[in-house]
Amino acid sequence: MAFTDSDATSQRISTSQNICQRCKNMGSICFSRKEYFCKDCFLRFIRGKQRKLMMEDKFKVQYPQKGVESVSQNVMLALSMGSSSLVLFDILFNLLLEQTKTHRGRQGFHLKVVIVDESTLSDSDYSVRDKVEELKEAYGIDHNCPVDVSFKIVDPNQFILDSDQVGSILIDNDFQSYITGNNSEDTKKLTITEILDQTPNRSSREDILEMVIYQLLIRTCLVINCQTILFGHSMTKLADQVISLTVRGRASLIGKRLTDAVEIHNGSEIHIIHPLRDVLKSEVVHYSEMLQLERFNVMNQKKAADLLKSKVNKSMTVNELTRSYFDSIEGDYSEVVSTVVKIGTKLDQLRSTEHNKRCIVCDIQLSSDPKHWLENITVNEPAPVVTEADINNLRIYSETCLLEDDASKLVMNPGSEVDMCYACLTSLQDIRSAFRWPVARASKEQILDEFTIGDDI
Amino acid sequence: MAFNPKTACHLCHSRKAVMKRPKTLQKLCKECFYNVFETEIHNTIISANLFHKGERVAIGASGGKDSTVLAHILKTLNERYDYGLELVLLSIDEGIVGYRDDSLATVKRNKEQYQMPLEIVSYKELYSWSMDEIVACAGIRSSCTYCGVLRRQALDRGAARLGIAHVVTGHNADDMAETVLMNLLRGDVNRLESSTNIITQSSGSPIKRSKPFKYTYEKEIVLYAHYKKLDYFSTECTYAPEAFRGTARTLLKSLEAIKPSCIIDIIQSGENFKLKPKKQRKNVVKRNTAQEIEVRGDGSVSLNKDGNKCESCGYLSTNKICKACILLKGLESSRAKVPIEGGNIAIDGAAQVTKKLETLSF
Repeated sequence: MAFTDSDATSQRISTSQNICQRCKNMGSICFSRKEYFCKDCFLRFIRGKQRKLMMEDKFKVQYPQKGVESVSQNVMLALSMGSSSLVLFDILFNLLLEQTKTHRGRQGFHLKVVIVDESTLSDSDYSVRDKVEELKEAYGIDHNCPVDVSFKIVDPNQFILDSDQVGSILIDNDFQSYITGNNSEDTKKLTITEILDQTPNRSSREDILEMVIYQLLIRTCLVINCQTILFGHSMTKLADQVISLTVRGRASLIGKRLTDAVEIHNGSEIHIIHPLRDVLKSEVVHYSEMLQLERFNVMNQKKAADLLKSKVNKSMTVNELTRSYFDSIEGDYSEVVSTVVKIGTKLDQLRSTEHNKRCIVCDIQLSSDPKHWLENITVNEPAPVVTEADINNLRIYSETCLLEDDASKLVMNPGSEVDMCYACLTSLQDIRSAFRWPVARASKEQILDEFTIGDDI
Repeated sequence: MAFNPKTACHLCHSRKAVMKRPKTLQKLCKECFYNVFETEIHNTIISANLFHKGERVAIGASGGKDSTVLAHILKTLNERYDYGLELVLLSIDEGIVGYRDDSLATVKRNKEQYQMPLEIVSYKELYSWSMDEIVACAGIRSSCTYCGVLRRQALDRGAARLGIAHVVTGHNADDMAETVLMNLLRGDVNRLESSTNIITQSSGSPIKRSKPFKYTYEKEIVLYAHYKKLDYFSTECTYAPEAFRGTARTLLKSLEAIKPSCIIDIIQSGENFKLKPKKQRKNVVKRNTAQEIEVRGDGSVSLNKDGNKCESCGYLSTNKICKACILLKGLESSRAKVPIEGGNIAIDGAAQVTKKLETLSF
């Protein structure tokens, strides 16, 4: 049976007269999945959803065996300061609190909360740092709190500082990408805002920012020695992702982003879990309202600012359009959200056929050759120039317009060829000038792989 | 008029650009647009190995822009690249008065213009029902369900009648992208991986279908037909498109407005969809399905699953009765025993009524 956001909200106003169908004792305050809930039963119901998806032993309290002290997992929570990640934080905090109470101060895992401070990327009037302090205060963290929780705020510009140098990426008419002018000094000067400002439209900007944040979270996870990352995405958000990844040509990521996958970064395994995968967005909103978590939510303020920019359909991003699509069909086709997530979880990760080739921008392993695919379906050859007048026009054009843009300069100085995935290639193809991007210096192994022909040394 | 290099075609740099190409947003002259449009379709045909020399191919012709451009392009490419094809127009007359009769008139003109033989197969002749009668009986909401099932079969039957094993249709990149989105939104696991197949063929069927416009934008087809001054019929079917598909179409159009490459991006995603292998159940002995015989509820047995024939009409079906016969049987049971005197306005055709209303003056 597919439950939907509209099931959860439809009779919310008239619920005060009804008794909670779970405890049969208290008056209900919300209606979800065709059932009336009181506050305690609803919170328990949602918390149960998280527990169901984090059943593994590594999240349970371990006692030392035969004098050997057990080692707890370090678990990282990616906190965007939006409704669903705040709800997940509350659920995890309460889980750990319960564990410390029932197991004499022991807890199943160490929770490390990581926040990427997006407020630094725009002229926002909210401070993530202040909101985090408010959150810590409200949960009594730093005041002899029995639960071991730590917070880390990450500056998005760290993404550039982690890299060795800045390269200029150019894409020619045949979809071949090149990198030129590496400069090790530039990493300190370039900012994420400057990188985002190079993108041709808001959708590309959103795509690049999403990817920067994801990679930053993965890198931070390793730096703070965590083995697992928890994301607070609700079922509705995951459905949005299935469609928007498809639209952006990133279908190969659906399998990994939706299911509980293993991400391998620099040889280390990181487990990715979405504990709120079975929770609807409206349920997240109920939960958040019941516990007044909205006061910590900075995403509402960010969204309001973004909405001002995107009143007209044409200036909306792919994510915003997808979101508004699901909102618009919710009434008549309410089961679509769970259907989309269900089919998304059935998709497999693509196996790479292009061994050791990774996208220079988003760092995903290439499963096919996008350049070849695009070349097959796009012709850029002109029709023959035959008349005398046209030949004369071509001569005038060559004299006046040639070598005006960077793409033409490429002919003179192509730089070295690099690999790009399909989505990054099409997203950045419209940029006529070079795209400045932080890149890692090639390792000895990469150089040997690329340039060694025989086995002899 | 003096040549201005700033308004020159992006590809040839010698002629004046007259249009912005929807697929790449490049400013192109007519000649370069024709060149890239035709060459891309030729490349699609060659890379998918769609045809073989001497093959007889039926073009599913509705008289609309897609099929008219398809007929024109296939004739052009067949001559230019010597495919050695024998092309035939195959039309389906669904029986929608005021819509299909007008579009069939266009196809008949196309027959003369392109010098191709034309075969028309009608629903009335095949199933004893016209679409106007079906809509009058079953209502407008399910019109696309009936029409889709019946047309698929009618195309196969028409091709078989002509002794042709290959039907090409004018499905374009927008249709493909819409199908990928629809399969995701409907959760259609069985069709998801094959959403973007350029060649489709029912198991056991001798007729294959292909879509040479798989990577061709709908807007480019319109532009090509416009600049080439092709004779096509441009009215949409009178019976409303399926409501849910309509929402997916609106989403796609909105997405295309902000990201023109999204149509090709969705097709690229569709080609990369791969389902996880099904989990094997524990303690289940693997059955030898090849030797199994299905015993139906009425005691009869199914002899062969692939290539089974419908017991009612003899058309290829995996079930005892094909989908078309099931739908028609339902219609028969609800057909009025006594017709209303003066006739039903819906049977006359909603399209015809609309057309009459359009000519009224006040």
